[in-house]
Amino acid sequence: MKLVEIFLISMLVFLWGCGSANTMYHWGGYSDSLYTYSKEPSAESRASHKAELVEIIDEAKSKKKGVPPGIHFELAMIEAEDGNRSSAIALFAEESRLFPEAEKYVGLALKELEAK
Amino acid sequence: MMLRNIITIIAILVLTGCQVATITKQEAYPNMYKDKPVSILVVPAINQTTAADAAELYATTIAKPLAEAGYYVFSIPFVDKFLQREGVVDGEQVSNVPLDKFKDVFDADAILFVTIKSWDTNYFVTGGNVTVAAKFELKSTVTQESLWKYDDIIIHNTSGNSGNLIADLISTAISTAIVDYVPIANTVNQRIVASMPVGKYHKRHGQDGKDKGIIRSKANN
Repeated sequence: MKLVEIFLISMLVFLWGCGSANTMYHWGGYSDSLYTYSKEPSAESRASHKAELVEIIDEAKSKKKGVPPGIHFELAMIEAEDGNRSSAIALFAEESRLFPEAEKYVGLALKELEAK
Repeated sequence: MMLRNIITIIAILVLTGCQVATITKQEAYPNMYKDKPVSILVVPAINQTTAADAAELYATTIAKPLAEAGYYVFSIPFVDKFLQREGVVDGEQVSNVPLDKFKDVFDADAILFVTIKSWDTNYFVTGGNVTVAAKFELKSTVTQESLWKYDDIIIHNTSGNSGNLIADLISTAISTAIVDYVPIANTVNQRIVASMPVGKYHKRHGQDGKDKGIIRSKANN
């Protein structure tokens, strides 16, 4: 019986190590909506990708996971295109706050926003 | 006794499946531990296949495994727009952009280059698969050196496997006709990126040098 237990535990450890579904960030349906939007850019696919980004940010908290790098940035770009400057600026700032590595290109994107 | 034997055999199979003459991450990618990149910029893939979608599938699924491996990944749609303005529309032209430019503009530590060598959907009577061959290389924007590379062929099974021949035939026919390639691209990227030493945001950052499992020939091509 003991051997069986050891075996089961090691199987679990093995499966955990080889194919863990445990992610550090919450991704929702990011890849799918981005793929649909890049393949067939339309008002509709753009809106559903935007909705997906908003949902990822909302749901990450309740799932106790992080918002992945680039999500706030990508949503900020869409808000900027839509002329929602203040929300774009806030989202860019959030990206830099979460990930200091983003600072330089956030600065670049903000400069572009001001030039508009 | 019988159960014990079965367990031993399965355990051996499981363990040998994971150990095919391998080296450690530190041995395979010493530059990665020296350079310690934090941020990765993904450039468009070079697509050598006839599958027009391959580059797009790659671009929309690569951020996840890289971020989960602990790296900051620059927004891929934004990088694409930036490159387009610079006159770069496909992966082939990226090599004309000096690596330091990415350091200057984005403050990116490393650039990920990918060549998709094949993307084939195969059909068999009782099954099917998608076979993807790709070469990944991460280069430092500081030293211009190669930090990590991996060249692999991944076979993703698309057939039904209920054990019932008729049911499998039908499900294979259905699933290969409307294959959703996004999860396949996800799997391919995930499996390849698994060989990359983890970055700053991963809890095992700096501790995976002794991890085994890197197949030498795939890392040294």
